[in-house]
Amino acid sequence: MQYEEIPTQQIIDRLRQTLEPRIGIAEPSLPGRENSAIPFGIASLHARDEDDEDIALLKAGFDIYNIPITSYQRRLGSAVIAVRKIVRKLLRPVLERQVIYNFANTRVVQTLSIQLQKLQENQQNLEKKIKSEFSSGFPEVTAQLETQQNAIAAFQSEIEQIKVVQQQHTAILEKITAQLLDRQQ
Amino acid sequence: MTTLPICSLIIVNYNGLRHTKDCLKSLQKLAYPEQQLDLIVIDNCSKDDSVSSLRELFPKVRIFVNSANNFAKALNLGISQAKGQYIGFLNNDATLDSHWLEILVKRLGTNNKIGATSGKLLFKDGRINSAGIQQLPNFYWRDVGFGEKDSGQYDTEGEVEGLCWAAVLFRRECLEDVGPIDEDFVMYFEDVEFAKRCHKRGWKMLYTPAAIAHHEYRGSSKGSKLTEYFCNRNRFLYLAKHEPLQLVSSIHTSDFFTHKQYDLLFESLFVAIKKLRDYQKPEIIATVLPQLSEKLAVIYSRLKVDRILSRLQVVGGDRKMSIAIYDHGLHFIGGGQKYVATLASLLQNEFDITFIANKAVAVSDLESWYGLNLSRCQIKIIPLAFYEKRGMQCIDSSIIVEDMDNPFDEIARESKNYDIFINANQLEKVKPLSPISIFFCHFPNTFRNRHFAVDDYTFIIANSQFTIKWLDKRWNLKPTFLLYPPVEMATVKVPKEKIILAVGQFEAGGTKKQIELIQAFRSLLADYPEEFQGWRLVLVGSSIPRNPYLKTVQNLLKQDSRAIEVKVNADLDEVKSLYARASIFWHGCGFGEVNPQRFEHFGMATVEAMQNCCVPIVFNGGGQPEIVQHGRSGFLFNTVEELCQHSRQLIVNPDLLAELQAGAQQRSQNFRLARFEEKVKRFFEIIHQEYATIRLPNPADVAQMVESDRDR
Repeated sequence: MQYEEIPTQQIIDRLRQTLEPRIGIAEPSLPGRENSAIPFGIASLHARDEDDEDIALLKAGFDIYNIPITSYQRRLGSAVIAVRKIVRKLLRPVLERQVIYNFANTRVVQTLSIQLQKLQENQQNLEKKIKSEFSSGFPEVTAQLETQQNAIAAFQSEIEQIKVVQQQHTAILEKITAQLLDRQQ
Repeated sequence: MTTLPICSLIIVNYNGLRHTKDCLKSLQKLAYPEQQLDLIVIDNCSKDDSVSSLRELFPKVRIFVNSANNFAKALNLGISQAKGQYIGFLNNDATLDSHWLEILVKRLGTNNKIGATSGKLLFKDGRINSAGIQQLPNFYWRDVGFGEKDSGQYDTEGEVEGLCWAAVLFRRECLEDVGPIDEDFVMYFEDVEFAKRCHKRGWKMLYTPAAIAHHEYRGSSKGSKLTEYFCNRNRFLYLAKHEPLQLVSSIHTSDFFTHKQYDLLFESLFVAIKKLRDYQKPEIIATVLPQLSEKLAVIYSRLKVDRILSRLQVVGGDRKMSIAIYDHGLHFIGGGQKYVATLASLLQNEFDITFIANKAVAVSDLESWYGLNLSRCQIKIIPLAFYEKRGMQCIDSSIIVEDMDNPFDEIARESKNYDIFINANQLEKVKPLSPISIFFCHFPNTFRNRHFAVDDYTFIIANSQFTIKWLDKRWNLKPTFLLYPPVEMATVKVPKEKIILAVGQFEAGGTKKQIELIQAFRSLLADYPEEFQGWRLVLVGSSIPRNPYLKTVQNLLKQDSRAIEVKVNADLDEVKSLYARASIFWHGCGFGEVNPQRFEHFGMATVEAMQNCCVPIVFNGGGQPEIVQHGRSGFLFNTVEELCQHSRQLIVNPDLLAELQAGAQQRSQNFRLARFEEKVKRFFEIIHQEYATIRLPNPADVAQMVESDRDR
């Protein structure tokens, strides 16, 4: 089973890294690092598009219990805060259940998003691979295809020309028909 | 010629076959009787084929392999093997004129006060490499005449401050009188330091220009960066040993300081302070150390300086390593608390252990609660104002939300007074300020929040694979290793009775599922009255007063208490007796739950039962599947129907019951104290070894480091 054995070398390396570090000058500040407080390193996550923004929002907002309680009311502010805190305390079991549910949802969405991204990458890679293999592996087929494509293009252009001629003929025909009708009248 | 004394010449080799070959060839041409020459090569753990090739090419040369890549150590090894009256050191990139040895031997023979002599050392192009060494201002040293054209300006014999060890000949008595070369220097500056000791002992160093040797500039050690590193580092060691009052003023003139290589400066001074403590009188140390400490605190933080001074006390053997074990719930009896108390009992002879608690509790309490000897441990109570003000007995960190100050900063400040800080009960908001810190995680109860500090710990130790899974899921962290709790509950063997035992706290939230177990037992009695004739369900557990859940259980039994007993806060002997007599063990914790916190994170009671040959039928969740192998050492259930089915299976089949009882007992051995002890001792032995030892730099690593720095 994983982690059952003592990883001696890993422990030694970690100790050496800790005890004989390539140290800087700054002293670690007592309050926790701001970034470490945000799950999954959200601070470093640059929202690439709206989906990413939504996932970032999920990650930042899944914990609905640990939220700052504030009030901007001048006189009743502290009373409002106290009441809100009491309500939060009363609702704790429910809120905790919701937090766990939210967390699981967030993880699932994130996992799916990563998987989707991987799949898209794989698909692009495969497309590239197929294209390159096809062109390098079967040059005569590619040449034939190109010839056929050119022929099709030429054929399409001929059709277009015929269509134009047809339209011209139709117009002339219509004109003649109209003239004939005029004459009959 | 045969009257000449035996001379041992020691050559140190590290991945330098080409140079060493040339050097040995030049020795074959010496105008010195071959039988009087004792040639020694010390290989510094070369990674090329040096040793086997040299053995093949020079069968008469004695070759030894050093245990580390350390030039000074190699020379000491060579000296210990040398047979000669005179002992020479040669760099492997040096070659000797044929009369070099003869001249120096004769010169040493004329005056017993001369401890060592060397000749004129020239580069291949004829420029001077060294005509002795001399001190410069700012405590750096240089080769006399370095790089100058040889126009006879150094052709006068004379005493010098020191000699370059690229080619030098010592009198054996001098080496023996002065003592071994200081191996902490590794390479470079060891000649300066040794010369200083020679002078202190009254030995003279003589420059004899008639003896010529040639040296390939930095052929044996790659690049000037390596030389710079060791010369700068060892300069501090030299000063700490011989001119301690200059140590503080030497910092600003150090290349490490002027080049802003503060990390290298820090490492070097760490070793230098050790030297100071090892070699100087207490009054000198008392003068220098505070000055040094003040100066370093300006460059680094006070915390870092205090840390190295504190660590050096351990390195010097002045005190044991200190461990602080913080448990915010130490005043309660619990499995997690027993876990760390056991750990403390195992380590108390090798470490100074202090428990840190937030509420009043004594070492004697811990001893009586857990049956342990903790006589060498101490306890320190640090009340937390936030919880005291609110009269809270339970230190619940989850009530500290985003907008609040961190009340655990007080514990963080205390942590810096110890070498190791152990956060024993996964309180995620305590920032460790000790050099080494360990976070024991029994389950990641919270989510990452503003005061989350677990990332700052050196090591994380988890109590089960289940905890490891959630540690990753919730905190995105991986443990260093897994340490199952130690369980020792085996009692005397007595005949088994028709008892189904369930041990678990009557917890107010009902996590141990006693009500569900009662209902399951009742349904078994109703469905199979004959088969379950004489069987009893005994529910044992602790409870707080006025426990509403317990009240519900008791009310349930008031209606019908047939064959069901509830034993609240039973003493240990009674629990042991029940374990010994019970045939089957039920545990339903986690059943019907979605919150992983409400699962059994490991399941000590299950192991206790198994050690007493009770067949466990436990909920298939949390840490329980790690203990019970379904069908071999018990059963895992997912539904009440499965619980009932497996129970009946055992009751109607005594052979299967006996088989699984043996299987359970065997499986439980994996979670005994011996395994725990072995792991704990091994882990802390590694920590102690690394903390109490100053590692000497390996030149190969340093070369790689300076190389990568250059690339950056």
